[in-house]
Parts: sequence; structure tokens; C-alpha cells
Amino acid sequence: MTRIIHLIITLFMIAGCALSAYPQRRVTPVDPTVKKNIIRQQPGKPKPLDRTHIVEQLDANGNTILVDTLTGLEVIDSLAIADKPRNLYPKYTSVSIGLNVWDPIMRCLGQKYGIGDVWARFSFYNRFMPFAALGLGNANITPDGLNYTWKSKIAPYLKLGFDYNVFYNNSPDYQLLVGLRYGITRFSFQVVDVTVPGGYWKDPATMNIPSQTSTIGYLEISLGLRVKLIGNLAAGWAVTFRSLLNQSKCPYGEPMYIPGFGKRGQPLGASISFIYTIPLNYSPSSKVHKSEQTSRQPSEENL
Amino acid sequence: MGKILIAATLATATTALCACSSDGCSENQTCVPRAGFYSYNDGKQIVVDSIEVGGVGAPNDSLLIKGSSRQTTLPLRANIPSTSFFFRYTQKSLADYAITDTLTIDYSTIPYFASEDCGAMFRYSISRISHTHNLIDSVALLDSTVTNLDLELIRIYFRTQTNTDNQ
Repeated sequence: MTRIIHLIITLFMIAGCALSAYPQRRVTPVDPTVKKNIIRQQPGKPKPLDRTHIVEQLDANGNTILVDTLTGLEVIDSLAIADKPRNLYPKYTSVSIGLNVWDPIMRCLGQKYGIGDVWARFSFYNRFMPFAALGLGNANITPDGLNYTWKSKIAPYLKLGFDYNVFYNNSPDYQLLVGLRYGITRFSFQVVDVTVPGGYWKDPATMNIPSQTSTIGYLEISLGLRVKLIGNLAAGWAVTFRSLLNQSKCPYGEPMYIPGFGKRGQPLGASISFIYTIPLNYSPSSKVHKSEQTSRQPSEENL
Repeated sequence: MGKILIAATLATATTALCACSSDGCSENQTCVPRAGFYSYNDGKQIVVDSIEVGGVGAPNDSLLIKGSSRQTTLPLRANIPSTSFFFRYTQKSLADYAITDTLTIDYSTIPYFASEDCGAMFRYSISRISHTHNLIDSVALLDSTVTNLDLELIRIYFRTQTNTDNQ
């Protein structure tokens, strides 16, 4: 008898373990056969609600519903549904000024072109950010194993565009930015110390290709991160995809390097910036409370 | 935060590596015109048997082609505005006559920077082609600008023997 009882208990335990492996079935205390009268607001036909016998309750999903204890009517409290605010930050959020040090760093690592740029970014709602950059670039490149030295004088470039902060309702200390920019530059360049091998005739020639001036416009698409370092100081990284849009004709060959763009034929670029931000209408230390931004007074119309 | 920094650093480093890569020079590093051999009779490309082509005054009398060929390169001298080439026919039936044609190309040189990988070179703008008329009937210039693209720019039409001639 005792063995039988032990066997039954063991079977119950095994069955319990097996059943626990399946998702637990939810049991609701609400009788599904009872027809609910949920009043849906008809557009353009506001219907006043008699609040005499109204009590607040929570439904199975955690939504607040208003129940008329006399008639049994249930009304969804639309005011209790928190709308996601469109923009948490003020229209004029901040101004950022940055120094792009990518080219100076790469120069230290052996790169033979580029100087750098300073840029400014105005932040609207911590979301839309017009962008402008002004920089300088030059080059003096003598590739190994090739027959020339490519030079360009220091020349300015300008970039205009905008960034979009994906995390616009999060802290401005951390931003994920997608940007589109148009860059333009005008610069002079020349190729010197060219040695053309003699080949079949065995009479090598030397030459300098005359100086040429070119105006070039290009498009940049960037994906960047901005991270707060300390106080109002931040660092930013960006990877850019670049494409030439327009350029003036160069009878002696197209330029190898373009200020602000980099080397021709290399569509990928990067930037590293140190950024100083001037907050305009918010304090970086204060938290933005969603409830304050979204709270509204209930009205009959919203019910 | 740390992960963001690592991801950003990796992305930047990857970009830097990609930016340093080079496709190499897919074209020629010199500008040399190429001439094809054609039959004057039917205008079709032919293989010329037993022919020697070389530059007039080339070092060591070096040849550009020797034997049978359907085309030849005609490298131009960068330091002077004209280059001449000889066409010597060495077939058994013609060897005794020592028939040779000479083709002269007049041109101007244009310094040109092709690309980072291909470097700088001379392009040529051909102004005139003259030749003797032993076996060369005529010469056609398809494009007067010689670039580093591998294109046939000159067609040399030879007097060729036909079946009718044999009869």
C-alpha cells in the first residue's frame, strides 16, 4: 500500500514537472460570455459621460477603465494612455562646436594629405541639426614605386548639411547621428618630378605637369556617434560615404586628392572630433520628466 | 558606454584600413598606340606572315615583332615629335627583293596624370601619318589621341594576294 502511495506521488511529481515545461495558461476572472459594452468615441460626436456612478479600474492589460456601476458600461480612459511625446527637448536645444582631428592623427601615422576642419552644429529639439564645416587641406604625396610627386597647395573647403539624432528623446550626452552634407572646394594642384621610363627606345624623359585649378563638389553621408566626456566636452566619431557630384575639367588629369574629401576613388572616410556644446534652453544636469511633458488636464471630449 | 566606445573605435579603424586600400592600376602605365593589320582587298583583319617591325634608330636594332602577327605596338619617343618604324617582309618569295616599308608618325606630347596607381605619363596627339607604298596600301587613324587605354588606334592596310591574282 505504501509502495502504491509512493508510486502515485512520484507520478504526480513527474506530471507536474512535465506540465511546468509548457507555458502556463492564463486564467482571467472575467467571464468571456458576458457581453461588454465598451463605448467607442465616434468622431465628431462627443458624448458626455455621467460621472455619478463612475469608478476607476484596471483591465487585464493594465489600462485604466472607467466603469459605470449602475449600467455596467465600461469606458476606456483615453487620458490615462500616455502618448509618446514627439519631442522632449526644446526647439533651440544647443549649439556645438567641433574640431575634427582625423587628418592630424592620420598625418602622425604617415598620411601625406589633409589638415583638418572646425564645424558647428545647431540642435533643434535635440533632433534636427543643421551642420556647417570649414576646413583646410593640402597634399604632398610621392608614392613608393611610382614616378611622380603630387602636390596641392593649402586650400579651403566648406561643408553644409544636416544631421539627424536617432536618440532625440534621450540625453543629448549620447547621440547617434545620421548626416547628409554637400562639400565644395576650389584648389590648385600639380604633378612634379615625373620620370617617364624609356621603354622600347630606352630614352627616359622627365617632366612636370603644369599647375591646374579645379572646383569640385561632393556629397557625404555620415553615420556618427557622440559621447560626453566631461562637462560640456564630448567626443564624436563618424564614418562617411562620399561621392563626387561635380568637378571642373582638368586637361592634364584629374586631381588625386580633394580637400575635405580625401583621395579620389576612396569612398569611405572617417572623422574624429572633440566637441564643445553650449546648451541654450535646457540644463544638461537636469532630467527631463516625461510625466511633466505629457500631463494634460482631462476633459469630457477625450473620454 | 564602453561597448559604444569600442564599437566606434572599431568602425573608425575599419574605415581607416579601407581608406588605405588600393585597387592598383587596371590600365597601362604608358601610352602606346596599337596598329592592326588589314587586307586592302576586303578590309578584314589578316595575319601577316614573316614580318619584322622595328623602330628606325632603335637601340640594338631591337624589333617590336618578328614572325607572323596580326598587330603591333608602335611606341612613340617622348623627347622628339616624330617617330619612324620599318616593316620588313621576310617571306621566301619577297626576301630576295628586300622589300621594306617605312611608317612615320608625327605627334605632340601631352603630359598627363592618369591616376594614383597608374601614375603620370605622356599622352600623344597624332597630327600626321606618312608611309611608303611597297606593300602598305594605306593607313587609317581611328583616334588621334593616344591614351593608356588598350585600344587599336591605327589600321594598316596591306596589299594582299587573292585567288584571282594567283590565276
